[in-house]
Amino acid sequence: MKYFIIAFIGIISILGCRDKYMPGLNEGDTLNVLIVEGAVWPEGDSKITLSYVLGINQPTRDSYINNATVLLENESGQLLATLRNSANGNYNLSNTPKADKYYLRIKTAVGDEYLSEPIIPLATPAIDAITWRQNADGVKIYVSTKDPTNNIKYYKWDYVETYQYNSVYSSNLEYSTATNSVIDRDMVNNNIYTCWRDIRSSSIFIGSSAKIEDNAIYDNQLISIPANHEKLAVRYSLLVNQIGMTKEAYAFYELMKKNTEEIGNIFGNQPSELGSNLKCVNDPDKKVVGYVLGGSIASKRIFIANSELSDWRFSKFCTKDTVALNEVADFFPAQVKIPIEKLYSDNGSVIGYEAADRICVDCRAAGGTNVKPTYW
Amino acid sequence: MKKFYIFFLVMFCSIMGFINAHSQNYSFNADSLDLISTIRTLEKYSGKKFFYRYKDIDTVKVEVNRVPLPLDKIFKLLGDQTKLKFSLIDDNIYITKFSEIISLANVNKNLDIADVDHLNIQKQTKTLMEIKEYTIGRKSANKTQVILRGYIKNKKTGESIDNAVIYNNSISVNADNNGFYNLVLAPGKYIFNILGNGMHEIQFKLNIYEDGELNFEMLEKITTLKNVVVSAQKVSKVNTVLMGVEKLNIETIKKIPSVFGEPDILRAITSLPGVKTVGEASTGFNVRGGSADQNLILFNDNTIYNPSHLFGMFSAFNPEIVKDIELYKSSMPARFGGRLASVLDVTSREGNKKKLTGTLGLGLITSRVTLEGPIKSEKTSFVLAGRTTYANWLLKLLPDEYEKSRANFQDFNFAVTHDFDSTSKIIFSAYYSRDRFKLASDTIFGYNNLNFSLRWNKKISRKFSRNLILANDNYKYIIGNDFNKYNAFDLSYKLSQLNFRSEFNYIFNSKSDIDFGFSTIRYNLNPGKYIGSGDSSKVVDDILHKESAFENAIYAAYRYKASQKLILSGGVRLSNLLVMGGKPSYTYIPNGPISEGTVESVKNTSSGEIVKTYFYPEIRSSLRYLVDNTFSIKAGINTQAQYIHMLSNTTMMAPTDIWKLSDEHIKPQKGIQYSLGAYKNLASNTIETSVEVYYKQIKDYLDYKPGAQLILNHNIERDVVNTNGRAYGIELLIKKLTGRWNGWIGYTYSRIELKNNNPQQGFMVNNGNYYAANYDKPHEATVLINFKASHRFNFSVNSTYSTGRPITLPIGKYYYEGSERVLYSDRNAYRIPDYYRTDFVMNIEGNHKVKKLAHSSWSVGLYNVFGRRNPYSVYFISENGRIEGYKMSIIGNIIPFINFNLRF
Repeated sequence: MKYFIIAFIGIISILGCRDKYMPGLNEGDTLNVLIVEGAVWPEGDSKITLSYVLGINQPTRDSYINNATVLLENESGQLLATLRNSANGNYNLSNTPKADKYYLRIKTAVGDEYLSEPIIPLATPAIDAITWRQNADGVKIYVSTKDPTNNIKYYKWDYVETYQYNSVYSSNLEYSTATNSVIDRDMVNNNIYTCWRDIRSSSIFIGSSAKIEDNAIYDNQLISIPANHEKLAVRYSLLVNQIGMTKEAYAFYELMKKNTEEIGNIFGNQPSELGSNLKCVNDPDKKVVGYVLGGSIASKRIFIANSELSDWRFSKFCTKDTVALNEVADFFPAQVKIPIEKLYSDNGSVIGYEAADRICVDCRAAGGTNVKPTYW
Repeated sequence: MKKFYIFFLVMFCSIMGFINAHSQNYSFNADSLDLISTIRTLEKYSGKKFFYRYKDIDTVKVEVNRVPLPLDKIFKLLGDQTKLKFSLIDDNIYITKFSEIISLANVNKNLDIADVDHLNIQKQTKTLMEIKEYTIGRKSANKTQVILRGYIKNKKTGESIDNAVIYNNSISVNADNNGFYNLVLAPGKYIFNILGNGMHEIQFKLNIYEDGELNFEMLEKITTLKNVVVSAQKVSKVNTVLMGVEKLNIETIKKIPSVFGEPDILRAITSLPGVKTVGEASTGFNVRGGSADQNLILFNDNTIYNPSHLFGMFSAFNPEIVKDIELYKSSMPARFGGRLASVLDVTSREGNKKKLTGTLGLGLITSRVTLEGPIKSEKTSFVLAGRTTYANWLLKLLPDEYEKSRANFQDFNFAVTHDFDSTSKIIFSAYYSRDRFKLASDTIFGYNNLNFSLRWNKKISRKFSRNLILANDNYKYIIGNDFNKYNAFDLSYKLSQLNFRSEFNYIFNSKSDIDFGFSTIRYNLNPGKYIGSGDSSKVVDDILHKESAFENAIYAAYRYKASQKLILSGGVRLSNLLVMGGKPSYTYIPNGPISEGTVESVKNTSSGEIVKTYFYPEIRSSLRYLVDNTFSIKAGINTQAQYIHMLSNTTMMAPTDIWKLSDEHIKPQKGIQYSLGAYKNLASNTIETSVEVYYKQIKDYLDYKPGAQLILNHNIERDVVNTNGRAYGIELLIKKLTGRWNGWIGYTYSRIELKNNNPQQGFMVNNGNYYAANYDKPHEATVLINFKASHRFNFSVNSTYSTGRPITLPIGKYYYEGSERVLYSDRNAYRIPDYYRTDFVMNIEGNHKVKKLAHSSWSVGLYNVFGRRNPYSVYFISENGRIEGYKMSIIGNIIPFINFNLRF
């Protein structure tokens, strides 16, 4: 169905068209609708994130709820642990006490209290394999899994992609603001040629083995990297996290995916009301969105080096400029240009620098870090 | 019309010339005029009638006299310039090209009958043809009441002429769809006229004293005679007791511009008041607040479950074979049932009974061919039609990633008609449509309709007639995917039904008659079959249990003419559904939500067992009060029950929609409609106006729980909820179907609101308040104008406006699973921008020589002339972690089109 819809939009695009459209709706800051996301992981790191719904045209996405009390209880109402509030609406608990059923209780600073339905933790099986295949369009990466105990039929995945990349020019100079001069670069601690960048998944990846023989998921596609993309220019790594889900949790994620990722098709699938496995205790009509999962998380990491691919060429276009000594103050302090190499006169004195735009020299400008990850 | 015509003449005169009439001499105050206006002016002032072939003179210009001259001098003057012959016989002037006409007998020899049809003056048939007189029975028989019956057919093709009208000043009777008529009279002398759409009027004298039979053959008009059609209109709309009935013949449909220029039946009816559509790529339509599945779509007695091609871009009816369509929005005749909102009755043409003919049509997307003719004798004829597409070029325009896309569709019709004698007729009809498309991926979508019907109409006696109908309808779709060999599957859905219907009509006397009959439908559904395809597929087969049921009905409708002014019609239809077993039957905890958790017990049932019976009496009643000959008021109450439902959680009909029978848990939908209308004809019946208001209640309409799974659901009752609705509206229509300028203006105000407030269902939409349905578009207006520039050029402009349809909009956003996401408002709390579109089409006919080997015609036009980007939907999606809002239009540009047709 999905492909059908995509193709249909394609056809329509010949005849029809889509235009950007943002009607002026609710201009309010936040709506008093609780968003709750996270998982309770017995004997592992449990994490819950709380936020409010923002008005549709609010530019900021900071509506996190801090200073709430987040409690984990067992079936008989006994307190098992209190989650610790860190920044950005996160509530964490390491080494979560073991229980057959958990109840999550949230008390916000404005006096609303929410209680979850019973959360039954599932033992997520290990990821079977993460495989990839290259074709003319690029590289596609798949996950396969299977629960040998046949307990789990629904899965959710998220991932972190990390890739190593280089800037176009390697600079052995840097501009020191302390001395207002160009000095030799510390090539060990301040190398800006090689960086690593993380990209977190931003879509919902779910799968069901309910209709597959031997209860397994084969080659569920997670990522598609277009041919010659920078991600695979040097070396690439992918960490996939897998969590098992109940049928209800799967239904929630499927609906959220339909509502927010697949709505714009020609048959006009209706967005439907998204619920939660939490309810507001003091006001049952108050809306809550989010499904707190219960279970362990299984992770697996793979690496793909550029040398494993056939004919993968990435190129970026940059040009070098010359910055004369008297122009240094115009370009280097504000990092308009980064010096690359010294330029000498015939008599051997420095008369200026070869330089280029920051994006061509400093790999950090593209969003990565020059600190090598520990697993690399 | 006449007034209009005169107005036109006056305009002509004031522009073109001026007559100075003293004694028998005439002069013009211009030097040069075209011959047509010269003749019209002379005709007006001399009181003489002119007869001519339009094409002989339509382009001729002449020098005229400023000095007064007698008529014969003028004719000589004109004759010398034009080489035309002007013959004056009695008070008529005949203009001919070659030989002069000396006497009327000569006219009949020189001009064959078809040529006479070209004569452009009204009433020439009466002038040239004598009025026949028939005497039936002996005066001495002394009956108090006599019945005349027979049939009316087309003299040229032998096809029956449906809904012809036999009338005089006080009586009018419509022939039925197959040309049969019954006239109940007091013995005596009468003069009657017969009107048929597109036919020359016949007048005859009747002296009747005993029951008798008279058959008529009517001549096709090649030039439309204005008055004839007008009278027919008068008789049908103001006089009939039925209300909310819209009828379009194929000629009208062809004048309505459509995407790619393909005349489209379903698209045409959405231009009528009270009929709406959710969008352009949808052939699903909504009648008076009904959903798309509440329309019974009949094609020659066959029920068509998916009437569309190419994702709904085209309707699945070949325009070359359709004769006319009738849409019942309000008073559903008691013989129809099983759907809440409307009946769309599409009738195909009968084959030509005299000679083998055909048509060929070429369009941008499809080609059509038909062949028809007699089989052995003039009693039997066939018609065969096929249509196929070459839409692949359209897909080739897509970006490369859609390279593998293919789409094709075909449809075929075959019909045989046999007249045993004037009282008995049998029609066999077969229909097949097929759609296959494969888009961008390895998923193949396909669906088919396959239908057969057999109808036998028989007049048992002068007062009693009977129709027997046997119909077999099949619909299936299949979705195949081999994208990933481990997950390769075929998913199929199949519906078949066998319908037997018997309809009777008995005439008691000139004041009353009764329709009665019964119908039974056997349904067999394979609601879903999901099987692995290929050797490496690991898919677990999932086959849903078959469903079967019998839908039975008996009905009777009695019509009583209390006076010349008042007609009452009262009908009852007793309908019933027997749900058959053969699958596990679940019971749920009473008064609770139906879900997996509330299952009380399961038992197996056998296929011969009736597991549930539903029974509903339905009322079909209406009355007509004639205030005067051009003004009537009608009222009606109608109730309906619907036992089969389309499950779809999309706003329009999609190829994956499934039809589901009512069962132990899914109740039939019920509806009641109250309607009131006023009908007035103006300007000598050339303009027809009507106002209709209605109020409607709908019970147990099916809606879905959030995230409902509709495909391959073994227990669909757990995912649906019953919803109630109310609809009301007013429809205004002003229609002018004849004349050089014709067309209609329609305006509708209507609302449809749904309500879902049963807390026991475990889920309420919008806290149980009324909310607008997807197809609630309060204001809608359509203007269709045709201008017949000449006999060969015809222009049409179609404009339509409607309120944007309701939509659920995002009202907030939040961050979840790595991306910003949107929170939606209450269901359908907002609307998309209003819809407005104008189209233009020009039809060009080849020349009108009747005896030419083949006749060609072109239609050229523009769809969406102003290129307005009408939003079809507005949606918000997360793209790369940001929320983007889009409005999507299906047709975002001007679409030019061209179509070629050949008739041989």
